[in-house]
Amino acid sequence: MNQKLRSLLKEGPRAVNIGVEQFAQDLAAQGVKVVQMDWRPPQAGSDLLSKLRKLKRQ
Amino acid sequence: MRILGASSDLKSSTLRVREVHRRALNLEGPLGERYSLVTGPSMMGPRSALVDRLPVLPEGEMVKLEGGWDATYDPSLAGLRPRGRWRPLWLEWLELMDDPDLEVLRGPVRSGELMGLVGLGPGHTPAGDDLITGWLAARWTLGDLESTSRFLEGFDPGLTTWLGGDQMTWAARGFAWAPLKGLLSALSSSDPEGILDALGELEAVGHTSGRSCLVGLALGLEGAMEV
Amino acid sequence: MMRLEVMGLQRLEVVERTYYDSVTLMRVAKEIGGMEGVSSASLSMGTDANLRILAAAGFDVSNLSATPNDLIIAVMGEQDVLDLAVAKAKEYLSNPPWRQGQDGGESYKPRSLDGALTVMPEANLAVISVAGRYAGDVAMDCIAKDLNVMLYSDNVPLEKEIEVKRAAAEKGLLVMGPDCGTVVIRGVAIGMANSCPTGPVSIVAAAGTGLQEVHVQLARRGVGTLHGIGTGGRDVKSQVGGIMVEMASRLLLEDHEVQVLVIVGKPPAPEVEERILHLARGSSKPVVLGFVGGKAKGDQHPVYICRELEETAAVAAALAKGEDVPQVRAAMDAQVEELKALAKRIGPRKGYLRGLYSGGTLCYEAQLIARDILGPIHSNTPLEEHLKLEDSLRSVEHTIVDFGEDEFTQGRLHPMIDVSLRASRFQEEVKDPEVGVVLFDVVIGYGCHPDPATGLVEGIRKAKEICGDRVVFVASVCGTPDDVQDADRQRRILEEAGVVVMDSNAKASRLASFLLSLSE
Repeated sequence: MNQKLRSLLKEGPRAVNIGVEQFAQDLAAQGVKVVQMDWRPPQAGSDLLSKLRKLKRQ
Repeated sequence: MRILGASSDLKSSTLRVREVHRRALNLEGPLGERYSLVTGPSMMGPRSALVDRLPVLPEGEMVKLEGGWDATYDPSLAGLRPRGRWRPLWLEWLELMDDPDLEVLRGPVRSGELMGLVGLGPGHTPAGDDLITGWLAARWTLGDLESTSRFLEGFDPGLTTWLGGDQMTWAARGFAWAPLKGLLSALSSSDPEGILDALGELEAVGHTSGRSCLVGLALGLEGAMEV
Repeated sequence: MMRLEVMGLQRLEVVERTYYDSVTLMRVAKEIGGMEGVSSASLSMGTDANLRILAAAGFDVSNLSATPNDLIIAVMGEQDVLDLAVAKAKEYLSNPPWRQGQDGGESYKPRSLDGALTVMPEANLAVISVAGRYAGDVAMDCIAKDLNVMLYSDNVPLEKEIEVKRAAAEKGLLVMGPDCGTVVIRGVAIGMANSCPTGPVSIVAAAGTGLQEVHVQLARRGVGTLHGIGTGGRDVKSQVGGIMVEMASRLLLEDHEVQVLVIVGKPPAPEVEERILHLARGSSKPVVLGFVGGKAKGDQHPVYICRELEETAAVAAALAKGEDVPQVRAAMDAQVEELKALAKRIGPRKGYLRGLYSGGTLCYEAQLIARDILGPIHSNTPLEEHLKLEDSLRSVEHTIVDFGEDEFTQGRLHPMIDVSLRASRFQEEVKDPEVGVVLFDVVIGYGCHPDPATGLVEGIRKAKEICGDRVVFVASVCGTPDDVQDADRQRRILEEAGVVVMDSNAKASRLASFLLSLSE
């Protein structure tokens, strides 16, 4: 069985929450470890940054 | 007024009140160097004292700062070195330049020349200075003394504010204010505990200051930009 | 046609190509709506459905040019406040007032998945609730990083769902969704789910409120649930082929912690149902199939076939407790007769049934039960195409509406979070002199409104001023006393307002129908 699936079913969820923050709050309230992401739709125009990133990822 | 804590480099001195702010008082020492009285722990930096409340003093007033305090904050970045495991996280900070209010930084960053950012943007510490601060702190922790000394040699204080210049020169020498040091400490450890809080604390500084510093930190850690 | 009174002037502003999640939009609307001189405010994305809702609320959208990617800020009120209100709305969007305050502010929220995983490399689940047009790709990213996925988002294209599920299955990962609002893992509620004890039963559900109702009904019978794996409703259709229902079922059947497996949802495509039956028949543990409204019948160990949600829970509970299933079934049949007696005691009413639902599967089950007793039921999600409402805001004869459907939720909050649409609809329904019974669900638990009963009851009181005793209000509460809303307290609030509260959706639907069928 996939390790992450086994850990989900046997140890419980350890979650990354992508979207509505209420879900992360509700998980935290139940003692679950959760990281809230600040997700944004992919931007069409961030060329400076992708250039920079490509440049520096060598 | 009681001194609740102090930076480890704070010395007794006779000072002149130079800038009065809502939550901090900046004073000038005998050699023109900056001292600060602050009212919050997250405002601690080099030559700072944490006080319960600010004394009400006009600009120009002379003040004697006398010893008898506990050192509670060490502004030195010595021993700190960000670990590679955090790289995906610091790459995100480059995206902060997409924020509309950091627009002023984009052109100069694209040009790759650090000095072009000195004094850029409004405020007591311009956003450009905050970016440079983050950049210098990053390079210093990576051991790039060549860049940091080149900055100190080439920096013209007349191009920016007193506070901005002070902050950058401290960074070039490996000293920082609490939120930046807190983040660099977290980045130097492998423990995820507390890193998001440390990041949040720096991000929240001022209106653009924290975010500009993060951009500079990321650029510095990635080896982008040149003095 | 539902029309609220136009109070004062209005301003509509379109902000092009922008993205905000529904919760943010609702909160800003609430802040603006509370401003002095503002009578109503609404922020929603420019979908056709939302434009119709705005029009019904009294806004003039005839000259409005907006796409689903544009934000519409709509304000009604006094002349001199309108501009300010719109400006404030924009300000609040970029600088949310509920986030200001404390020194140091909030924790940083990583903007990239890689960034998030540096902080939690041991993460095993991604919970995704971003807009459907993006959610599929986000899910693919998560699967590439070896995360199981709960895909709460709906409006994910079918091809994307298939792509995501195939990619996940190849890696042995679970994808729960799209359009999966309810998951339970080791008793932990994820999304909109209830607080119930853990125990020997586990559930695989191609139906959100279907899972919730079974989960809650089991708890009411003293039986706990370990896992409740949602798969999204489309999983059991022929195009998706039941990939996740099968995978989850196999997993749970092989799991030593699971003693009874429940598989619940609307009837699957025939070939999917066949595969599920085959899997169930070969099982060493009892499997209770709850295909709501399905045609199959009969119990033959290890397979037990049910067609209603409470029934499914009752049979599963019996199996878990080692009780005699035929006896439990007989007891349930006897309860039907009791419901007829109760209907006679309350006093039958003449006319039509109007159902206002927040849970899709509950709405579906209600339609099935009502149809058997009353005949054709109109709906925005009808059992038969020709019974589809022309205008979902306008009921026809017997009508049961699902307020959780797309047309009500695109760019708006789900009815389990925002009760206002249903609360005002109560009054519209009772204005029709031919309406005799109003039926509804109150779903509580995590992710839901902190006190839905109170908001609904406000609408019911206003409705009763119009109809008096003519209309009987019947409801059920899907939740437990351990939920933050406290099911017992929600029930009391409803009963104090004169609502007849039943122990399950099936009982409520049956009673509501008997109240009308016995009036001859």
